[in-house]
Amino acid sequence: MKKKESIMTQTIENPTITLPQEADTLIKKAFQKRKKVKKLVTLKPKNNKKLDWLNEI
Amino acid sequence: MRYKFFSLNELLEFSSKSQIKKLVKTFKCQKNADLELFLHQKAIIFEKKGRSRTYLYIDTKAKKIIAYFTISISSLNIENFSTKTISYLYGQNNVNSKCLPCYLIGQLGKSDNCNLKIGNQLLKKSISIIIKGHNILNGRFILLDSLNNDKIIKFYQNNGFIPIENVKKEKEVIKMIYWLL
Repeated sequence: MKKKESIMTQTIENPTITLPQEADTLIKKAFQKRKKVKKLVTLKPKNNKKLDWLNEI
Repeated sequence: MRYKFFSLNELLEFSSKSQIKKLVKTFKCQKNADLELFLHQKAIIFEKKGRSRTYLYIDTKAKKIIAYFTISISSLNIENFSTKTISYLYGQNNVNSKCLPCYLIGQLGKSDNCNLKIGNQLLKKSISIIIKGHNILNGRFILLDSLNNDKIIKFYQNNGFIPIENVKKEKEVIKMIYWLL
């Protein structure tokens, strides 16, 4: 018997993700608290020695 | 080192398809049948068709996949969203499009026989790979499907994801967002 695909597989299969109307409000809230949540991976390095020359401008 | 990460793409490039098919079948997950089904039936096809990238955590001694995740580029339908929400998602609200680009973590999980606590490591690895793409291409957010289960949602929340669907509803899966801003 063929197993039923779940929403997760469907999300990868479909080129577009559609969210329910409630997401509109929840995305706004999520955006507002984006800086308060702990990030797992640092997005930007703290310093970049390659750019030391810029300080001399 | 006994446990190693490999990209499925890398394995397909340097091994035969039949070997890789045997390898993916070593992944068993009865708790989440879809996780198993995707790896067994879709991951290789999607890799070859350029639809997603799958990364495997392999026990090289037992020659078994103990965990994996799949990431891809997707798009979010914004037709029903307010201009404010669109501006948060895109950086401006005058968008001449019905969709916005995003990164997607489509699958992420470990096998039944894996006793290692590698959830954080696995999620961190998947975000690190997306961030490599983000550093080159930019982008504003990652979406992820979480099973609507308190423990799993909490795990993602502790790692920077925020639910964007009502968790109280009787839904199998909840979408969550991770801002790359």
